[in-house]
Amino acid sequence: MDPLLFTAPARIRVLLVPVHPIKAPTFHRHVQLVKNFNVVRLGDVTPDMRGVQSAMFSSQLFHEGQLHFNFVTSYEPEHAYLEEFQMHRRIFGVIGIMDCCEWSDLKEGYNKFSEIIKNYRTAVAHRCFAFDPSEDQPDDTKGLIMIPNVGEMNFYMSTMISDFANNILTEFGNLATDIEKRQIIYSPKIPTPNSPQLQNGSNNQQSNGRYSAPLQSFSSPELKSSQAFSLTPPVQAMTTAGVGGAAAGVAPKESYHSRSFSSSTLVNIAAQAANVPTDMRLKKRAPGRILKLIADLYLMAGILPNALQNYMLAIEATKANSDYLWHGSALEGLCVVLLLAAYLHAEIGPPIIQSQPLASPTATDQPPSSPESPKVLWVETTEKYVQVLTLYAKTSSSSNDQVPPLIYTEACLKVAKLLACIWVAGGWGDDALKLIVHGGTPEKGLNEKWGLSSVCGVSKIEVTQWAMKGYGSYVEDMSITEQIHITTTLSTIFSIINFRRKHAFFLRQTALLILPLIAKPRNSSPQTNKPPTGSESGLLTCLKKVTETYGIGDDVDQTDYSVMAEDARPLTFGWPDIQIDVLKDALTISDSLPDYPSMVKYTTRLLRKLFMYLHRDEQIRLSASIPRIVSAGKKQGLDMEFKYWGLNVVKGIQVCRPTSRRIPYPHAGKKLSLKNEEKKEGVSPFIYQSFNKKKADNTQIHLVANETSYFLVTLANPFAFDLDIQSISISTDGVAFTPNTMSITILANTSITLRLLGTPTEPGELIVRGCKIKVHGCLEQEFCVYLPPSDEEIKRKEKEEEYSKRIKKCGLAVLDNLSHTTNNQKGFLKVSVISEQPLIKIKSTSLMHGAIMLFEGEQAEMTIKLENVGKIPVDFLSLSFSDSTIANTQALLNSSDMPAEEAYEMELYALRQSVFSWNQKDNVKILPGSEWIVNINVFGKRGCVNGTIQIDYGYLNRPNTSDDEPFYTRQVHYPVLLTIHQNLETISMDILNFKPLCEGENDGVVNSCSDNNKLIEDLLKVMKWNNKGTKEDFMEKMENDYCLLTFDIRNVWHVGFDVTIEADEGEEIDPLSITTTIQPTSTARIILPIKRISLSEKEYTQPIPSLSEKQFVVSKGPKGTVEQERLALALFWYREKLLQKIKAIWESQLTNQKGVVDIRSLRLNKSMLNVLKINEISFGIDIEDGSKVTKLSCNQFKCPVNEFVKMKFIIYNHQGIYILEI
Amino acid sequence: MSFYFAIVGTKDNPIYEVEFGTSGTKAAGLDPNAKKDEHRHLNQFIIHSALDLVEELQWNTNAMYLKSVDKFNEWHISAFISAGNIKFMLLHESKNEDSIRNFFNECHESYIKILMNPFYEINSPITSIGFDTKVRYAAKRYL
Repeated sequence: MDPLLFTAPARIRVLLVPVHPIKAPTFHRHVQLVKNFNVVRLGDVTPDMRGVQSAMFSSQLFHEGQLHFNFVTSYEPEHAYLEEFQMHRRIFGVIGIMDCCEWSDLKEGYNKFSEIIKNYRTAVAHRCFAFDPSEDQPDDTKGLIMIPNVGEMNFYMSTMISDFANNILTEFGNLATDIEKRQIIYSPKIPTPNSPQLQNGSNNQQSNGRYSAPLQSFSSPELKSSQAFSLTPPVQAMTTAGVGGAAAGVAPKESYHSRSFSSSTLVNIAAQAANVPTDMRLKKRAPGRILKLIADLYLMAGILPNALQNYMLAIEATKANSDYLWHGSALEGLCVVLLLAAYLHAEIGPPIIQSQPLASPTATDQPPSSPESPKVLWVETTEKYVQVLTLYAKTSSSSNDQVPPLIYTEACLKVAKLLACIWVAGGWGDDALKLIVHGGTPEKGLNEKWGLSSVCGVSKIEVTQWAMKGYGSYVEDMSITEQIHITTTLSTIFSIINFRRKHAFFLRQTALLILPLIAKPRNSSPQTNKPPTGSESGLLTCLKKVTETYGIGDDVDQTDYSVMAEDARPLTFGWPDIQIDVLKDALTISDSLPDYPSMVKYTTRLLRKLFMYLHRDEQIRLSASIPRIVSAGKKQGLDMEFKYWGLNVVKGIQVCRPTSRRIPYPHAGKKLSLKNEEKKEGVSPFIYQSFNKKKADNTQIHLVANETSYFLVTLANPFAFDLDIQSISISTDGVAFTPNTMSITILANTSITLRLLGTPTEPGELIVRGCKIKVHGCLEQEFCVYLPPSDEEIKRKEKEEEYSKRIKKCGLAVLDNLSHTTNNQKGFLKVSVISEQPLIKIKSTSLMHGAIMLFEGEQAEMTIKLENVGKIPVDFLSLSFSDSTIANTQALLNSSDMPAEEAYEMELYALRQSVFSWNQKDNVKILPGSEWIVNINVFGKRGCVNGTIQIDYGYLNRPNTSDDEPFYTRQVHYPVLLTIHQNLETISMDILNFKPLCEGENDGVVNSCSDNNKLIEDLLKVMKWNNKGTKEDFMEKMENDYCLLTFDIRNVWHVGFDVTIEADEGEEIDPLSITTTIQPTSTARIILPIKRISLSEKEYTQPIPSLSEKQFVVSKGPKGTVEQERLALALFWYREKLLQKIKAIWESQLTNQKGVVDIRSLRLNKSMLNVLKINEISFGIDIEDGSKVTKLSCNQFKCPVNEFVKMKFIIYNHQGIYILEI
Repeated sequence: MSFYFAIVGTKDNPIYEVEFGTSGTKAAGLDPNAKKDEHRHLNQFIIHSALDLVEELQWNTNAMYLKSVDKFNEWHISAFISAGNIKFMLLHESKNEDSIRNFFNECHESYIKILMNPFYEINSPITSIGFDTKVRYAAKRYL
């Protein structure tokens, strides 16, 4: 029972001792049974028939009264010095508990009990209860009471206890008479100064059993026995006191006296005390003190009226003598009396006054207290206690009557507890009184709500003030047991009033005090799987509570490790310094028990939660201790496998992009070839479409079944020590996946990025959950990595939390809130796995070092040899090309504002002349391991320096797939370096009319050409080409329908080339071709008869087309007149027509190269156009009379003079339309 | 005379701690550092346990200064609570309400200034040197 119960002075302490041998559970069962009878009504006590003397404490005096027994199973002789002063500290009775099953001869057992009771000389009454007697055991042992386990056991027991009570009451009478006879009564003195060694010695001996008492109501039986014996006072005391204590009957006054002073400690006190004060003064004070002691006895005997009366008298007397200590003590007693009276609802004030006229003078002062409404009683009690404390404080000045700190502290704590009880009961009343009188744990919840404290009249503050008063600096000077008592009581009080921080503070204090007592030497004796004893588990529970309050309770271990990363922020609950301290204390305590699981628990918690506040060495030390603890625990046979404890080391995980040749590109359906897709895209009239979401390149990464895939995992170690990761592998869900494991050490305070491998074995969706990591010494554990929540999700969450956010929590309430934060499941990284894909590599090409040298316009061929290195065949192959010129021209076209015809020319150059071309073949089938050759044509395009051949391939016609299913292709790129040399250039074009080649008549323009021979030669060729008609016809035809195209071809290379020019007039005429050899650095003039071109107006006024998809931009430059525009268009279209007819091919005999001469560099001008084009309407003149008139040339005639000739005008209409008027 | 001053946030977390006074230097015993350290820890525990009382008392009064809220041995704990539930706790030996009130007011003012800093997050530790000197100056002046 709690020694700091307010009504402790009214309780009679009775020790229950086991009579060995007895089994611990049996003993405790019987103890519980006996404890049921701790309250005995005075009316029920067997009336005493023995003598007049004991009538003083007759149970008949005050029927309503109650006897409160305080059955204890342990006894501390430490406070023996106080027994004289506070009678209730004494053991008044001893009850032996015997198990009949263990004894064959009960007599022997009783003898043993007799031995035991000799140790407790203050005990005035004893009984030996023999439980569970068997039938054959005779009930003949004197003094032994057999308790049968059948029948009305309760009734029987209560009778026995009543009888026992009577015995005690009788003895009280004797005691009282003894006291009354005494001359001098000394005040208590703390015995510490003289016998510290003794005290310490006994402390160490009995460490375990004794100190377990405050924590747990029982201790193990083995300890109990040792305790029972070791508790005996020093030997000499036993021998001297043995005589009196053994007798069950009357304790003679002298023996008692000698007994109380016989212990070594008290002798000292006596000697000390006798020196200082005069006997006279003590003698003067004696009557008051006697009165107080007798009042104590009355109080214990439950005869409240007498107690009250005696206390009042004592107060009077001590006041007069300024005997502060005893005065205070008497006041304390008075308070207890009043409280008990209130509890019994007994009016004790007035009846006493009537029956005992002696008390009347004092009664006039006091009565208002008792008869008044009980609501004030607690207020009065506190007031009285204030007085008590002042009185006690006064004693500090006197040398011999100093109040023992224990008394002072207990007084404070009693009040605090009283108030706390009232508070928790919701106010003064029967509930509160019951709590006060009987103790026990109050039910919480009555007064939990804050703000209610004022309603019941007691504020928590008041409780705290009283409690803290009791915890002065002097407490540190007390013995450890006392300190533990005080701290436990304090923590109880604070837990009652729900001051969790204070509660934790004192719990921690208690634990620290207990620590040196439980520290056992680490013996290596194998205690396999020993369950923690009561005290140990109690201490562990204690630690648990303390850590919870400081925000580092078991809750923090519950959290999911994968979200722990956020928790590492420093802004969470609690005071780091204190948390570190508390955890270290917890560690030390569990270390000394030793309790390995909790050691691991606290070490890991310290590291996880507070590593950022710990020094590097500290962290290293702690982390190093873990394996040691684990191995020690394993030695003990404990299951020490534990999870990884630290923070989530996996910071991020992402799928590694495969190398470019392994990337699969998705396509919508099988039947759409790549080129179709391209065409489709070109439909839209706008180049930039804001609504078309373009897919970013790296959004979708596909993994391929049965191919090794790579994951980039970022690991971080926030600790100051290296983390040894024994194995790490990707943890997945969804389709089957074979991960590869690896091991690594993350250095302190660093992060690393690992590339982990794994192979998905089937197509489908792969969910990447995170990593499975086995940290050295821990179990393998999965660390999940969640995708960051999307914006929507965050918004939704915010909305949900909006309400709870408005209620702000502070202090410990935050702690409750913290644990409620739920982390709703976030998504994992998902990757799609596609079915197996073929893999191709370029085995060889016909090029040397991937480079090729060409002349401008040259046509060459190259081959690429592909090899299927995958596991499945390839049945689809598509080539696409790109070269360096395209991008350049595109850029130029987009940036500059050039005339349309220029732009057309550039576009034509860029787009229509591709460097590479390929003749697609059907029925491609490359089986695994086999080779395939692709032929590619290469064209020597001016200005091109490099190009890329891209080969897309895939396996389309798989078994069991439908046509609509998307398919994937892979790409192989082959870069080609190109060197293009210019060999021939075409310059200075002109177009001329045919003029008759009249010798001597040099008025023509034609013969400006230097090389006449050449010209003739060429013309001869022309004649050869068409010598069907007569020369005249031919000439006429030439004059009308043909014109001459001349241009120069210059060879800029150092090798001669054969150039063939072809003019293809189409229709019925065979194409005309001229071949010349152009020597290096020479120029050849090419003259070609070209049929004049007639274009309708509709044709030549078309706008210039654009070959690329280009946004129309209004020209910024100065706009020409309508005529100029028309001219420009006409020039463009006539040129186009002209160029269509002409084809120039070169050939080198030496190297067997051939190619095309670029003739597009030739430009047309207005005068050329006039020659080239056939006017819509033209005239022809003819003179008919053929005999006289000779036709000299086209429009030249020779006519006789003065003769009529018939002239014929021929009007040609070249237009497609009918002209009506001329 | 020595003092221990702490500002405690709403989550029982210290946002500022300072110790001033002469006793630390005077009591240069055998191992003054260890003793001081031990003492400092105890101070923190005392302040922490006094928070219970502050939480209780703050509802009973309109004043921000709660006077002496708790007593531990010979030590008094005075408290001041800001509007944002930030607790200013002072551990001191002698009772001198007025000067402590002044000290708290001064500190509160400095704290408000810290709070107005847009980069200061509530409940985060105060690292400003200016604040520290101000508090020390106030302590010198009033305590």
